[in-house]
Amino acid sequence: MYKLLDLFHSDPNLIVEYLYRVYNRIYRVEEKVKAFITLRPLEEIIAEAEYLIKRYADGRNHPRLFGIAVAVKDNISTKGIRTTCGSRMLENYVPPYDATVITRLKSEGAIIIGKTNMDEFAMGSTTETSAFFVTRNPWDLSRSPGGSSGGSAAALAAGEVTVALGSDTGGSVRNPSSFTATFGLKPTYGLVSRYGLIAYGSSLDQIGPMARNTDDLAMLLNVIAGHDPKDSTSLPTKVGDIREEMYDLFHREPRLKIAIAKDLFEYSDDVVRNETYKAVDKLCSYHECEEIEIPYAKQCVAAYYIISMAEASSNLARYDGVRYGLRIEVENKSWIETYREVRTKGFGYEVKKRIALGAYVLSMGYRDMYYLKALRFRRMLKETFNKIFSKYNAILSPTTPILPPRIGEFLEDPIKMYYADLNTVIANLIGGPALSLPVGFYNNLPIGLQIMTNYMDEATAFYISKSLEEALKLRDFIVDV
Amino acid sequence: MYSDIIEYLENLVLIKFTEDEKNRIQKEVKNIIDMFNMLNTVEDLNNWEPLYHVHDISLPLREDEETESIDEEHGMLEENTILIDNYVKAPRTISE
Repeated sequence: MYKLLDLFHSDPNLIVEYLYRVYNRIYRVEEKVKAFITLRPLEEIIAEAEYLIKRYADGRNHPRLFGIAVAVKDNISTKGIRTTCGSRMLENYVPPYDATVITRLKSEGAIIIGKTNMDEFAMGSTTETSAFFVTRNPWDLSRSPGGSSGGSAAALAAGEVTVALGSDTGGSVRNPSSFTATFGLKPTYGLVSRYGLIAYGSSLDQIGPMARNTDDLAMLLNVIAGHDPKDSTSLPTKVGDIREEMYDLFHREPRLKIAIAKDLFEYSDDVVRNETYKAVDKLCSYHECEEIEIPYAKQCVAAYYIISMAEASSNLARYDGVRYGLRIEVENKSWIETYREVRTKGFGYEVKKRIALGAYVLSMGYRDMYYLKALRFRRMLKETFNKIFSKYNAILSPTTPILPPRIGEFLEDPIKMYYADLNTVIANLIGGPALSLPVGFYNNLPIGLQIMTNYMDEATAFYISKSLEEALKLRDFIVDV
Repeated sequence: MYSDIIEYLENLVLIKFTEDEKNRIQKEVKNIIDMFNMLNTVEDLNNWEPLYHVHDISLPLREDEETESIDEEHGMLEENTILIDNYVKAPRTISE
């Protein structure tokens, strides 16, 4: 992205040429990849670019993402651009306002080209529960790009866009990043505003940047991070320039204490373990590494699904089909009848199932047994990780324990899909940051490494990512499809 | 075995499962509840207070100051609903 920004800075008219190229690429590959639910018309984009060029015609103070094409996951509200959440329920929903992250992108000169496919209401790890179509992994079209931000990741890997936004409730940014050899970050909970993000599990959700290299990832994070009075869970702290902090560390090269999450490697497939260990070895030849055990690792998945389903059943109660959303004939029907019909027709199977099970774990007699128990576990986990981070700067693990699944493979066995989230859900439960980057391939299928760091210590995760990227030279992949 | 739970949940959440979906969820629900029950293997869980929110700080409320508004509620209605004389057509509140 740096090269592009330098070019645009010297000659802003190149933005138009760049956007034509972006669209040509999309026209060429999109039929195979199917990353976008909504793609804005090229004429509209060019008009926006021309306006932007005129506005900064004095040549000074170009904004930080001047002319850069961004793809946005379809659960982030965009004023005047349809936002479906991958669901029939919102198939025709046009938000009247922008999410805070969108306002920030626009004010920095970014151009939103379209909205990307996702699992319905972000509930899934393969982008297959989308109500519209399945997105394919550019590395192997018979496989899934992961999910739920699969459209954003596939668009990056296929070279359809320069950077993208996803959202991450239990790994939905990092999982598709790992499966497509791209970079993705789940920021500290509260670092990025959730205003305008359509809620799934409110205490777990974060919007995260996605890119083809560490630098772009940091630049995108710089733009979207920071306090937002419109989100009461947004942290009221001042956020520095994370990219600068990253480079400061990168040049000083401090030796870190790194924890290797032994269990998470052991639970992974052999090929994933082997490739990720190679990357770990590179880091450990310089940094001080120690293996650690994560107590009750498998129980994290249970706690995560209990909490996320409970929050989803409450969050998704708002879709009544009356003020917005799927519209049905209401003549001579009661509220209960209308509500039942709208929800039955508007939601797909996975969403219905999670709402029902969420209501189950919150219902009388089961609340103590499941929901409160999961919250107690969450406290214990957080304290455990506080202790770990008092000794170590970072924890490494594979991002996912498996290779990208074949299309259809997980739909037959949802429990298998849930367990594939094991490594990623921890960061959502404790609220800390986690970054995924590509570290290897097996049979041309990407494998990612996850770096977890302490609250608000994104800089260390970026430092490790940048060092590994330099060592392995695995970056800027655009796959031929 | 789980069909009574599923019927109970259908009424609780006001969602109907199709026959296909019912067959599917009946097969899946046992495994999911077994997964949930794994939390029972964690020792001394009751010694921990439930954690509802990851940041144990009290988050600030906004000052009660008027800011620029785009009348989002109304904008949303205009874009996404059939308005009749600026009123939303809703289902019946009182049924026979």
